[in-house]
Amino acid sequence: MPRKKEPTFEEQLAQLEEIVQTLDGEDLPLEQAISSYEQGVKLSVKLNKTLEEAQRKIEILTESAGSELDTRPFEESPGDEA
Amino acid sequence: MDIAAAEQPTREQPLSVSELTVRVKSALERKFPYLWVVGEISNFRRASSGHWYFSLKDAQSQLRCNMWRSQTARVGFQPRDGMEVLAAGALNVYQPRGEYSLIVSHIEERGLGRLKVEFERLKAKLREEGLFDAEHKRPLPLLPRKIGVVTSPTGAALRDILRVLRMRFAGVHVLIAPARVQGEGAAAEIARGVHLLDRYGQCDLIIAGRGGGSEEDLWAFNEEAVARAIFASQTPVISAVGHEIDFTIADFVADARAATPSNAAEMAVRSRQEYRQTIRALRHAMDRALQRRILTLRDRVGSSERHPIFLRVRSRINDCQRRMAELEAAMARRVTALARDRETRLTRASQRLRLDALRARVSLLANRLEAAGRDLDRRARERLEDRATRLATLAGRLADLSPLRILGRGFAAVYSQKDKLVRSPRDVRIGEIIHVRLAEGRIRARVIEEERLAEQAGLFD
Repeated sequence: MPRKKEPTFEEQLAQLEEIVQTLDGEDLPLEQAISSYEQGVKLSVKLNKTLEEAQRKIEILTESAGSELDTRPFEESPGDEA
Repeated sequence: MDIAAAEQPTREQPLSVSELTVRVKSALERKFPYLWVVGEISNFRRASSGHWYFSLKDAQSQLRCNMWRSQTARVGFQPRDGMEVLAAGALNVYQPRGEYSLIVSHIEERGLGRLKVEFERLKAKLREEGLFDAEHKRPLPLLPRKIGVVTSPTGAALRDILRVLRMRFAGVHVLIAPARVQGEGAAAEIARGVHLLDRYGQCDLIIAGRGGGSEEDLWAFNEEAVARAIFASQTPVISAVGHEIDFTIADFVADARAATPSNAAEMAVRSRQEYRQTIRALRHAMDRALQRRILTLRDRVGSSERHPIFLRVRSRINDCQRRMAELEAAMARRVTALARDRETRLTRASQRLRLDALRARVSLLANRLEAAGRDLDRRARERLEDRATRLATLAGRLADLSPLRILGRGFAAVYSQKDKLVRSPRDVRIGEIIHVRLAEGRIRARVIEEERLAEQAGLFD
């Protein structure tokens, strides 16, 4: 099932890797190299932001009588806190 | 020797315990040299020597069993109490105790036997269908934004997964699809959980699993429904059944197999630090690449610049620049001079403009003056003529009063050197040449002496 909204962390990382590869190439005009570089910097900032902003959230799937799917927060047992 | 056929010991000729035991041993061991027996294991004990001691029992009876270490090594499962097994071996009587037991040479789980057959059948079938093919394996996401977990919400597996996730990468979103993981209906719940998470959970990764247990406990993960659900999932699935030695069918179908639930969590996310390092490494690689690129370009520019043809061109360019500079300077001078010239001319022109106006005025005035002059002339002439006439008349009358007449009477008029009429000694200096006008001519004389009169009235007043 396609769920393509925003590029995933992985896709962005792959993009960054591609930029590094492109920059390594010999035939890249300088203007393009610089614009690629700028794009790379933006990507790395975004990636780091993704890492920093990720929030822990634990939910459990619930199903009501009418097969209505829902989620509610899952209480982690105290034993987990160790 | 057949017991029945043996001579029956009598009261008079009883057998010793040993004799009887020997007879029993002989009879039993001859009668049952190799046999198969089915029963449930109880009192299973593994001796430090490596031998196994246990009983086989059913509802009414028990059979003592020994299995020597040399045989146990070949057994492919861990016998436990309550397990129904098929055992094969020989009956043995232990004389010192008068006990008999089965010396087991081969044992197999009776239930497992059936399950194992089913396992192999399903495995072969699904492999045939290509469910295990590597080409269907999806790569795990590097950093799943949301992880679906199909397991028991109360099990140790979930606790382990959440614990490891928290340790590695605290900020992760987990959605649990609760499912029983053993017993009747467990497979259907697991399959449904995988399906729901895949279809509606918006997960980047699904972990399906449970903690360790017996072969039967894990059986749900060997069922076709689970295998089909995992295969159908668009979301990558990690199977995480706590069973390190054998594989489950789920393990074969899943995109990745973890030995334990904790292991699955470790596979799901790397540590935040690791991600950071990856990004940092890429940034550095990028920096270096760009620097290299610029250095290379600079080098190329440099070597091009040093190329003779460019040197010549540059020399020409320099020449042109110098020439241009000169021309510019010349032009600037010209322009300045021109500007200055124009300015001067402008100043002059503006001055002239004023002068011209004045001149025009002057000439106008001159004209008018001339006209006035002419008019004046005419009138003056008229008046002059008129006067002349009158003058002539008057002159006639005046003739008698003329000084010349007076001179004729012997008077003289004295004029200074400057031709001024001398009326007083003050009008001349001593030694000055004076003219004396007489009636019939004039003489020049020098003043020798002066003498002023106190009151001398003008002669001609």
